Amino acid sequence: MKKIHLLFVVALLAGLSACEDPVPSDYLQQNGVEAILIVGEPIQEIRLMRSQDVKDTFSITAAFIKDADVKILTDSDTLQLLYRETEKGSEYWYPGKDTLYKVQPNTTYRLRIRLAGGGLITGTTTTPGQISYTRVIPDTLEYPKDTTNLTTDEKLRLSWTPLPGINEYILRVSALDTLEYGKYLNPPTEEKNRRIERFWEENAPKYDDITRWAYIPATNIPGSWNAFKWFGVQEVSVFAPDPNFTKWFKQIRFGGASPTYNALLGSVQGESAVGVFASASVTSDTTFVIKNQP
Amino acid sequence: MNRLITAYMLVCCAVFFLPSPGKSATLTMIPDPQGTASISGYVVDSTTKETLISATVSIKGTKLGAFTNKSGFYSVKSIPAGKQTVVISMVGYSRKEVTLTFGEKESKTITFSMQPQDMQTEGVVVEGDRDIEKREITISKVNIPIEQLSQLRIGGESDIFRSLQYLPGILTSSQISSGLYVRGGSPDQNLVLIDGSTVYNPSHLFGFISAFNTDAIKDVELIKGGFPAEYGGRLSSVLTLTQKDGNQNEFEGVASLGAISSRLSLEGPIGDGSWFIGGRRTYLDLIIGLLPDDPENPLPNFAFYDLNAKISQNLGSNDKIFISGFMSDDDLSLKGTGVEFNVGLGNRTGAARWTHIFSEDLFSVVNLSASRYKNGFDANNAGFEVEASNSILDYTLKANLEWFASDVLTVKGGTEINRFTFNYYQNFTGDRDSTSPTGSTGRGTTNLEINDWTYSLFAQGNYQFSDLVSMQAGLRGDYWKLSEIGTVDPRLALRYQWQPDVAFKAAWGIYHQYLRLASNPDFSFFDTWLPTDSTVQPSRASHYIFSVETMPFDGYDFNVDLYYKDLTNISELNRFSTNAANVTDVFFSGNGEAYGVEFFLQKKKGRLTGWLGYALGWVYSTFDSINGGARFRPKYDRLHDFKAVALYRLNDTWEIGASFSFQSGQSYTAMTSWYQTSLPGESTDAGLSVPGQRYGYRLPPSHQLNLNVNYNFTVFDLPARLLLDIYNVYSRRDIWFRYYDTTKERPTVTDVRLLPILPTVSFEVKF
Repeated sequence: MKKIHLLFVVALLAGLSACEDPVPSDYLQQNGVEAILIVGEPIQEIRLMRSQDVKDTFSITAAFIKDADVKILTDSDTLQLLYRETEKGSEYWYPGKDTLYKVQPNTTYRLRIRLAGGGLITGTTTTPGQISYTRVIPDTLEYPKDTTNLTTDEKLRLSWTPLPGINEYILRVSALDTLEYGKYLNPPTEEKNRRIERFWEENAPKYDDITRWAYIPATNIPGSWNAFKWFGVQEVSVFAPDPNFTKWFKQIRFGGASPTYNALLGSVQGESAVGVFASASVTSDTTFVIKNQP
Repeated sequence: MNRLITAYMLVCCAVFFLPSPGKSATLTMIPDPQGTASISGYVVDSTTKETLISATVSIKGTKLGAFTNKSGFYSVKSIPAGKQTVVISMVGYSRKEVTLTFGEKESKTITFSMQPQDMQTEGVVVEGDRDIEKREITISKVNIPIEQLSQLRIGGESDIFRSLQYLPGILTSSQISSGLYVRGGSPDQNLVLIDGSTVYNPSHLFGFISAFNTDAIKDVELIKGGFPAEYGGRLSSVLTLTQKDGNQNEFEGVASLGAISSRLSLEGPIGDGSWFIGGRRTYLDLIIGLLPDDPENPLPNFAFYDLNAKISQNLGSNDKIFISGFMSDDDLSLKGTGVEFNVGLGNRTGAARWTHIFSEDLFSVVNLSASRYKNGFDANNAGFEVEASNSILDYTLKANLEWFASDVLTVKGGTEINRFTFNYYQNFTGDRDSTSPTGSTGRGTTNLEINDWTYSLFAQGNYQFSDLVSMQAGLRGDYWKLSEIGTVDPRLALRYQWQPDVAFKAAWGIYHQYLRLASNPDFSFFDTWLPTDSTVQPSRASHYIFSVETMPFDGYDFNVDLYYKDLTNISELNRFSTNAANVTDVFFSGNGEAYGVEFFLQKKKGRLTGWLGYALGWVYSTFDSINGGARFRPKYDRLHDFKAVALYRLNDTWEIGASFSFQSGQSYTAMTSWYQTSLPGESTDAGLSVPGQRYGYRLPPSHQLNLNVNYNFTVFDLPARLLLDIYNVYSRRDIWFRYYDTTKERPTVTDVRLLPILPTVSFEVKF
């Protein structure tokens, strides 16, 4: 009888143990690649890093893989990238042969990374043509006094050249100076800049959060006052992305504040590789958002 | 496979031309014994004249008898001439015996009225009832009396779907979701019919509670698998709801004031028939309307309502006409400084049904219905406007003929024609005025309209080979015009009565589903139904079920079901698809399988009613585009699933009820590493976590206890009830979902938990 009881208890425990798993602590290292080529700009800010244990604080210095052999190939050339450290952090870049090389439009680039251990990571992108605004953004924009009923202003409207084969664009609005405001006025003042307060951003980080991104499936949009996080000087850019960049944007921005990597949205292959090798062309302009009140 | 279907069709043909046992076959196919009589008609409630579904009508001292069908109609043949006692019985009604004298070849048409009886009366199952039970071949069918369903309140609301979730083998995406995951199938694989009309989104509050008001429903039947050929178009289960016809004798009503919503239903006689209207609505919007506007701290405004209405008329003794409708709406809006959005969704169904008795053994139902589900949202982001909406509109004509050919053979056949219109509209250009013409898709705008027709035919026969063995065989054919796809679905069910109280059942069938639902299981605010197009095949399932059904004690049913379900071409929403041109752009396509065993002990009669259920089940999916093509278990998979429901009537004043569930933890995806990402021009952006095996781990088990207490009294001589419900008695806050918060320097495993203990009080009065 005791045996039967024991058997029952063991069976019950075995059954209940199938009801829950402890939080796992497995760490599987991946090789993260971030390589986005911008048409007309040098090849730079190519990042290659080891993913970190979820129990650890992320340190780009510790994570960066500095000893890889990184090349970008075109149909006619092989571009050997070099490692360097800048104010922005670690990166691979291409200094050029005689003059600084700039990414060409409508060109196919192939990424080839050979890790120190011999592993290979690859990716391919074809750069879009050059995008350009078809409507000039005014030098100044006066933020509405009535913040309750914010209505759009035709001055905010953006339009750009449609590029063949591209239906999805990406908008970036960045505050260029979160500190100074009055010095850009005429006549200049001592007034400091400040963030635009919004009820849904009460908990947002204040001073390092300067950029708003938006997915735009059109080439002509009315714009929104909510695009600006700060008053003052702004850079408004529209990216014409290749399909890899569009997917990566969805990866980062459609997955909530804490996105999870989705292999279908990545564009690199090979040795434990996650990440992106993509390209875009970009058009940018600046404007100044005047405060509605001090 | 083709050989299997061919063999099966031969079996079907054989069934339709089988002679009665012990009789020689003749050209009249099913000869009645010479000189026998027959009786047919309806069984109704004596106080309201409401037709009763699944009542038994038997001839005492014989094995003759029948169940009433969904229209309350019965037909018993082969009755020996002379004086016979007809016994009519049903749970919740006093058993009735009527002695009649039958002449040779006489056909009697009689409507029997039954007196309602307290459920607490312990019923005595008589041999006649058991003989009728033997005709019940449909497997995995669950009938829970509506009185029990309405008493099983969760959070102060009696909710049919939430009650059905307390059956073994029915899983949920969470404790606050009303979606039914039946034996590993997703909610879109369930056919939900109300008075014959399909309901496409049977939920309120974006999936938290069901859209059906229990006051308006008189019968709920769920077939968890192996359903017969008369039902098609879905892979997993069939839920059939029948609305109340209304009281044909006198005007009456019920009013209820609850924590979440209030209800009112009225019914009464009209002409030679009845009417019923019932509705409920929330009042959060009314309360918020009384508060001053504060655009800097706006409150979301939410409201839902639903309305059921029905008119029934008897046109002589052989014809009845029913006109019924159901509508539901949910609206959520928020208006604050510089931002505004509105979300709305709703169902509309309308049905006209005509039942006609051609003769004592030939019964027909013709149903013409329209059902529309529509949802949409619009938002204004400081002048940047976006808008999206979609709808499915379905006009259906169904005509069924039921032939009670003999005491051992019933044949049912019918046709169904559907005209579907799917609309999908989206405008993400920022200008609501910027639209694209119907049928086009352009930069940022999509305006699609798809029209389609489906044609279906089915035939099924129930044949009793002997007192011990009976069979149901059916065949269903469907043709979809848009994709030019035709399918043939054979269905077969067998019953073997091993002992008087023990029956073995087995069922096999093939099922096809043409519609696909794009939905978020946790928060279904923009569900979109899409047809199968030329880029993908219809979803397909095969069911294999073996069941042991027993009555261990009087008043108790104990069933054990073993099932295996094989699924192909099932869908999983591609959440990142923004430029979809066809179905394969919207969904990933894959395969799945589900298998398990269910134990279900039910007591329907007596002071104590309720059930105990346990299910042990496995669900797996395989999609080329998900989890690297490796097999994974879906999020809603739970290995163990234990449910207990008890309702006890202490006396005429007090009733108590309790429901308890214990389930294995929901599956989730654990992360194996992470890194900081950035977009051009940024130093760092999101922390991106890298997942391991999809849904490879389980959260802690879910369990919950709910209590209900009813106090019955009178107010101004009107019967009234005070209802106290305690949701989550011991405040077990289950985890809704777990995620890795990577917004900080070091990721933290974050659990979002469900509601704590929640007591509610509601009041109900009848007049």
